Amino acid sequence: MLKKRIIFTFLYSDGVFVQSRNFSLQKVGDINWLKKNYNFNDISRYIDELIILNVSRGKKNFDKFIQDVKIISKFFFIPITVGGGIKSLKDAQNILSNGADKIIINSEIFSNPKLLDKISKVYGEQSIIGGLDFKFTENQYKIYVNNGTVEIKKNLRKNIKSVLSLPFGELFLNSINLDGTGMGLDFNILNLFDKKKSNKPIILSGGCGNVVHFKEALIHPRIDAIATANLFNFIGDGLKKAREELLNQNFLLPRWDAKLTEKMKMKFNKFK
Amino acid sequence: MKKINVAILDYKMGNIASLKNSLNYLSAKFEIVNNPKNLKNKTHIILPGVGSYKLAMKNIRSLKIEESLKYYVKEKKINILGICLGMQLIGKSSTENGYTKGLGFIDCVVRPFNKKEVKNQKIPHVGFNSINFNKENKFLKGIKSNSDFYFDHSFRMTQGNLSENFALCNYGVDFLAAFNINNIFGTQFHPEKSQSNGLRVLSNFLKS
Repeated sequence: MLKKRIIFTFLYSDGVFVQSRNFSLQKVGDINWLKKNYNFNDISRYIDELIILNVSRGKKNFDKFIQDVKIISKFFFIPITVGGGIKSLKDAQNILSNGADKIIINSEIFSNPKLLDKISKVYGEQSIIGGLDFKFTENQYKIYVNNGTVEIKKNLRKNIKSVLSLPFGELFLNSINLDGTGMGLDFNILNLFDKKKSNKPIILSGGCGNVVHFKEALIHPRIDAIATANLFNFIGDGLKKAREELLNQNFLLPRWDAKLTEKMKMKFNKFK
Repeated sequence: MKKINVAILDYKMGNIASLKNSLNYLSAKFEIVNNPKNLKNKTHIILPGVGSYKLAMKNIRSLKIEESLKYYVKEKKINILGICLGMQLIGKSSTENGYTKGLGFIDCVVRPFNKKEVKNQKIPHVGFNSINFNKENKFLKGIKSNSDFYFDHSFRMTQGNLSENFALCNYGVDFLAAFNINNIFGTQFHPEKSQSNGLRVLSNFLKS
């Protein structure tokens, strides 16, 4: 039976990892800080997927970002999705050959939808996640692009069909209002994406702050995965404890043996 | 056990970094190969890949790898593991973007999931799903039936005339998740992205 996924998101801006709240960024530390304060193994053995988003404002230094993606990917034997500032097939190729399994396309959904055709023809629809950053404002949902700075004027409800017809495999819905608040996820947005309109798997993000929020999301029939980007809520063995609680209570998550992963390290050294 | 020397075939289709990371973690010696000459003296070949079947076969042919692959796999009986698209390429053919002939190492064909058979579940089939098999075999040694592996695909391989040493996954419809016939191995799932379960399957392949 297909399981649901818990995804951890690293947010990256101009060479450092950041904590985001309502899309305003607070610097936390560079990759060395991250390695020192987060045992990557404490994260990687207890999540189902990793997302790394380059949310640098202005011009993005792609090469440095990709170097850091490469370093992080060594610790994770799970799917890795990378996004932020992908503007061409070449950008996608660069990312997909340096540690990422999937990419997130966000702004280009509206400004250059043909890019998704180009990428999917080479790598398949399943390698693209369509990212929508949304805000609940004036009693309706609105979509924003360019790191939440530019509002898409089109009515979301009317426009949804054409967005969903684009060639991408999954949908990443991220709430700007709830981002970094830890106040719980926005389930109402899912009413716009009922099964008749879209068969694409949905990842919901924004507001996940504790294990109760995971539970609420995992029992929701329309949600396939939940993502949290909060560097502080699950520090230390927070993710491990959360996952153990969820597995003990038989939530529909994949199972494996974290200790076995340790044992497999260097297994073939003597056969070199 | 003899020394291990793996060829990871790079034919410009998607991410091989995670496979490299897994083999590095297991400390298995490997080389990225895009020239058929470098398949010589390898103990294992891994055919990874995601994306378009048609483009993949085109790339394999334009790199002139096809004949060498057939020679090493069929004549020299070198162990080969096809992962995801790589497993599908080992089959007879696919109907993705029109009919394309595969490498034909096994007799199975590749077909798209259709909405009806997956009972209106979402396509692509993405995420961790359980695989099922009746009898333990060397490829799945140490893995219990009903274990979880990571899948991400819109096309599936049929069971064909396989009668033993295979595992199925169910997504509304049963499809081939893993198999082993002599020196030929395949997984529709990604062992390099399936935590300890995947590392164990990779390790079983390398021990074969």
